[in-house]
Amino acid sequence: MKVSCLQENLQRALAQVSRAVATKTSLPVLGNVLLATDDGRLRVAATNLEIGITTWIGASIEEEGKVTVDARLLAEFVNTLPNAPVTLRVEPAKFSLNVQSGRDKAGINGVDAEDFPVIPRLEGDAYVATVDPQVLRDMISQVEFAAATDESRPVLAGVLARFEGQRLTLAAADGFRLAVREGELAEPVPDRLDAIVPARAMRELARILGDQTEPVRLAITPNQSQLLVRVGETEFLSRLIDGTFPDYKQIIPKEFATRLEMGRDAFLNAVRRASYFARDNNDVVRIEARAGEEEFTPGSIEVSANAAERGSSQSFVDASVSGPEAQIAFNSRYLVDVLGVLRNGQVLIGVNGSNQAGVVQPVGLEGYTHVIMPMVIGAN
Amino acid sequence: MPVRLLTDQTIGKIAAGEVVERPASVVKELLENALDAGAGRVAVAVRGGGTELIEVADDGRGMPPDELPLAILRHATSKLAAFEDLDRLATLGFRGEALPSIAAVSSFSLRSRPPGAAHGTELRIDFGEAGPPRAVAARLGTVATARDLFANVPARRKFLRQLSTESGYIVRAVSAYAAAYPHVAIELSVDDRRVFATDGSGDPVAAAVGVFGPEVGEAALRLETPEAAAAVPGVAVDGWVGAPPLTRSHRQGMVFFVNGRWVQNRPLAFALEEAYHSLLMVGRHPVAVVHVRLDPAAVDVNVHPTKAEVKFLDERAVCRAVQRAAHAALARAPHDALPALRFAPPSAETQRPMPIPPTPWTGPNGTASAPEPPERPHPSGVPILRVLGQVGGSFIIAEGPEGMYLIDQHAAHERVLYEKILGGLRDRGVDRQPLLDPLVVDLAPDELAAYGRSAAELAEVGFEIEPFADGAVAVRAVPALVPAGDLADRLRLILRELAEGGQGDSWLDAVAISTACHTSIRAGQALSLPEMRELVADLERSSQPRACGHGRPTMLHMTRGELERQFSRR
Ligand SMILES: Nc1ncnc2c1ncn2[C@@H]1O[C@H](COP(=O)(O)OP(=O)(O)OP(=O)(O)O)[C@@H](O)[C@H]1O
Ligand SMILES: [Mg+2]
Repeated sequence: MKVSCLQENLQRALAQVSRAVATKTSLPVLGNVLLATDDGRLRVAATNLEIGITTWIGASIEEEGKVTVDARLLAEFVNTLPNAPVTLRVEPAKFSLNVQSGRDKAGINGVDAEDFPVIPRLEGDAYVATVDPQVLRDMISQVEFAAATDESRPVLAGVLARFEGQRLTLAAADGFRLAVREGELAEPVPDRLDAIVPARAMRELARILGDQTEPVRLAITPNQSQLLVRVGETEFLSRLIDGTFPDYKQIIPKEFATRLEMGRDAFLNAVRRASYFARDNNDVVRIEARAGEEEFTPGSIEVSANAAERGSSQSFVDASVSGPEAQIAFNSRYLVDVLGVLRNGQVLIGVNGSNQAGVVQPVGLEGYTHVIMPMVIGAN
Repeated sequence: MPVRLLTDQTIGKIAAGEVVERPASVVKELLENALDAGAGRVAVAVRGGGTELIEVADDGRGMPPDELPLAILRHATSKLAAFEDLDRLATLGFRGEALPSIAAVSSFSLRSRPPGAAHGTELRIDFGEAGPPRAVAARLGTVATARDLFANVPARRKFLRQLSTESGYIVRAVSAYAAAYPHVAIELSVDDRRVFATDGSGDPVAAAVGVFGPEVGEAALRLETPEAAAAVPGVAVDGWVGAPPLTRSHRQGMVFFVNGRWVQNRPLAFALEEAYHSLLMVGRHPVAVVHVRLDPAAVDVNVHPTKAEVKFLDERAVCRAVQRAAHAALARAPHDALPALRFAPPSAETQRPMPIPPTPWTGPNGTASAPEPPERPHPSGVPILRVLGQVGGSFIIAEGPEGMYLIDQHAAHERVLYEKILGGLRDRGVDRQPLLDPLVVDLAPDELAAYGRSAAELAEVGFEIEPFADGAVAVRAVPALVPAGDLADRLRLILRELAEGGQGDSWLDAVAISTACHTSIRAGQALSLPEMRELVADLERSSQPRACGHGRPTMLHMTRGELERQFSRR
């Protein structure tokens, strides 16, 4: 192989695929990056078997070939080279890569590219949906954090992506909370389809979407085992989780006895303040809502926490409270997580008693629902 | 004391000590005899951890009246005529040692009626003293009964663990055989309660489900002998391996049989785990029942008095065969990572880390004494520590005024959680975090029994659990201090420990200790610096920071002086 390309392009490509490089692995080749000539360009790819990222950069190709080398070492070397052409060379039947830029050069010992996993490409008859990349990125960020972090129930370690008509729904749940976000597809899909994408892969996808503006195509392989996304010159691949996502709709309360509406920033601040005291008390923060004294005075909510050894805190936030006064306790981390992904504005907390699931929604914005199971404070 | 020849009874007792070390070994020997007798149905019943009663009834070929007295003679066997026969062994027994050994240390009776006999014959041997054979009414087959085990060997009796622990060993042994002999319907009852029963249908997965519970059925992947190219000549492997996420936090879920005989073999377990490589999280181990079949001449079964160990002529080949079969089965698993990807499988002999000779670590027990002049004494007696880092994902290194401290993160967190649970119980009750949707957890029979016994105490420490259909429970809430993670597995571990007797001043204490142990940070879990600091700070605040609820130490201390000595500076 003999190829030259611009240092800048190579650096960007190596950074792009680096997130798919395996760090701890019993298969050393997964810590490598694949460099291969491909139809007049240079293909750069990495996979950790859960996700794969492939990207193409312009290159002038003198001699076809491919090789895999340690991804980190190559990236570190390339990052420090001047922005000038870089030549990549592999002697026939050898697996060591020579990198040269001006008088700087390196020989990096590699592995036969045949040992590198084959990363599937987008094929003809896949299921395809098209979506605005910024909408998708936003949706992912509002949902992925609610997925389970352990693998005991594999489907809960993933984010459900449901394609139906003109609508894409993302949902994630970890047994204690549920996040659901609906968004528009660029074009309607003919059939409904559910795919469960590992939450980690979703986070990487959001990163790759970056500030792209061109609609992206999400493709699901015919055997429904993989998701492939093409973003500009980059292809992202993730395995899908096999299984059926729980029927989340039945968990979402349809009506609330008490509705609290308040500014998101003020509420988030109050919860954060309480969370420092809650840390030593199982992260319990209590929320107590009181209606206004008269019809036109606003109500308020008290956010409080106490830890026997550390002390206690109370904060008050103005709120419009409709319905009976309510008390409920939540894990502060769950509240901070969801309030953190909502934009400034008003939030609604819907409560049906202190033992029933509570709901957090942005006010005036359709399509996002977050359900949290409250905590039960011990009593004896 | 003059030199004397030992009496027969003493010889009997000594030999018995080798073959039957605990009640579970008696059960195993009797069960093996029943299987050797071609039984289609075996019922095992024990009481009092096996010390009160062990009874194994089979419908096998039985023994004619004149053979009965022979069966309890030392080295009387119908299975092995000459030593060379050992190489062609097709039976589990071969020494003719089991029955005499058991009869020497129990009130033993053997009742048998072979097909064609009009009635049965019973022979009683009381602690080695044989009575005359008597004609009795009996069903076809054999019933062996051992009562008051070890009553004449107080030393051994003292050596036994809690009765419930001994029951646990028995359950393990019978479970292993029941899962591995699907053609035989095996049932077990402990203290008059049915623990499990298999159907004898011949389907290994059905047998495993009968023994271990329904969750195994979904995860079991049948092992098949691979195509010729990948097969290891002379070694056949069958059985099943559990697909992740069916895993355990201990290695007891891996059951190995070599030519039909239950064995403990570390290299085999190691080889099997290697086949899972990245599929298992640190600290998780597979569940599997693996049969290895090979020419009896290629394996020595006579290396251990209880036959629990075997020696292979070519151990590496056997391990390789197990590993390849498991590999092939796991590759068929539905949620295998990126199934469409092709990659060269890692070579069977992956590199092992180089063993580093252990440095002598003088005086870990110096830990128990408080550092001599503690500069900043803390109420708990632990100085304020500065966290430096983590070793092996399991131990926190910290520095204090008096040198270096190594903290076992699991034991430390267990101590912290245990005291938090106790604090909650003392003050206002334990906070609970309910689930959005109840989590249904399938329990093995002994786990279910432990739940039945501990329901009230589990509720007190913060679990809301309800019985659910068919050997399952529904979890509605968990103690709020339980960090996120595999709740089903944690609950099973808690119940398993309780099934084995638990540990603590009261049953509530035992439940609290088990809950703290199995919900705490595990060894092998990487922690960030802030997480480690918080854990160490919590530990400093606890009232007994130096041991976990089980009494294992939480920290080791190496003084500056000791460090200097180790580095030959003094
Ligand atoms: N359940 C049974 N049904 C029929 N025969 C039995 C049964 N149990 C024992 N025997 C007879 O009694 C003999 C002695 O049994 P014992 O268990 O002491 O020795 P073994 O099985 O031959 O060898 P080992 O000591 O290795 O178990 C056996 O060889 C067998 O002939
Ligand atoms: Mg025997």
